[in-house]
Amino acid sequence: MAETFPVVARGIGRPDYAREIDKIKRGETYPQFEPRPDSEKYKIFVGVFLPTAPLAIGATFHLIDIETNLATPYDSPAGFIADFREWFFALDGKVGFLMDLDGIMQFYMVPDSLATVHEYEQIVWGKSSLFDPNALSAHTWDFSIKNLDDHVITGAVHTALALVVK
Amino acid sequence: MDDKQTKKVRCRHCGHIFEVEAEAIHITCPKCRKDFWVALISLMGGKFV
Repeated sequence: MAETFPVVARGIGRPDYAREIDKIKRGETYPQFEPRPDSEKYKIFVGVFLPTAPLAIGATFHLIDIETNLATPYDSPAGFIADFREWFFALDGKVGFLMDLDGIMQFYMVPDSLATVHEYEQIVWGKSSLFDPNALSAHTWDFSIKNLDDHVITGAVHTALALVVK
Repeated sequence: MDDKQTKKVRCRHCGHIFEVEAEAIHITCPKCRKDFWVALISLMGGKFV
């Protein structure tokens, strides 16, 4: 049998976490970062515009699947629920970002120029289960950005789809 | 019959599109003979998506 020892609570003032561990706040996990289904994986799409290869004025670029180097649109397969959950922009100019789902649902935004924008959303409406709850069919996702500025743009953009086995 | 899953990839150097085994990450383009890497993150339940 394991030997047990009395432990003296040390420290001054409140809170004394030795006795009130339920009040611990540091290290708290926010709901959006709580563990998600084991089957969840991500499809990541990127666009990288180096100073040697910037996004030209007026040009439209379809983000690239990092697993294949193929440009979007990407087809999420039947049997999987797909969420458009995350997006990131770090660009030195004004762009318009368009997410097009099956050609019928669209999400458009113009992120702040000269700022790094990174969103990870718990509530998403770009979600295939909203109109295909049993994941019976494949869905087509297109992600593109267009240079709306009067100069070439450098920087990076990426988005992620969270895929979960239905 | 070879039932290995495959995926289409696009050569980072010349843009040639061809098929490789789904698990491949270090790939040599059959057209330009150059090597490139792709990520592998989406194996789910034995199925690549």
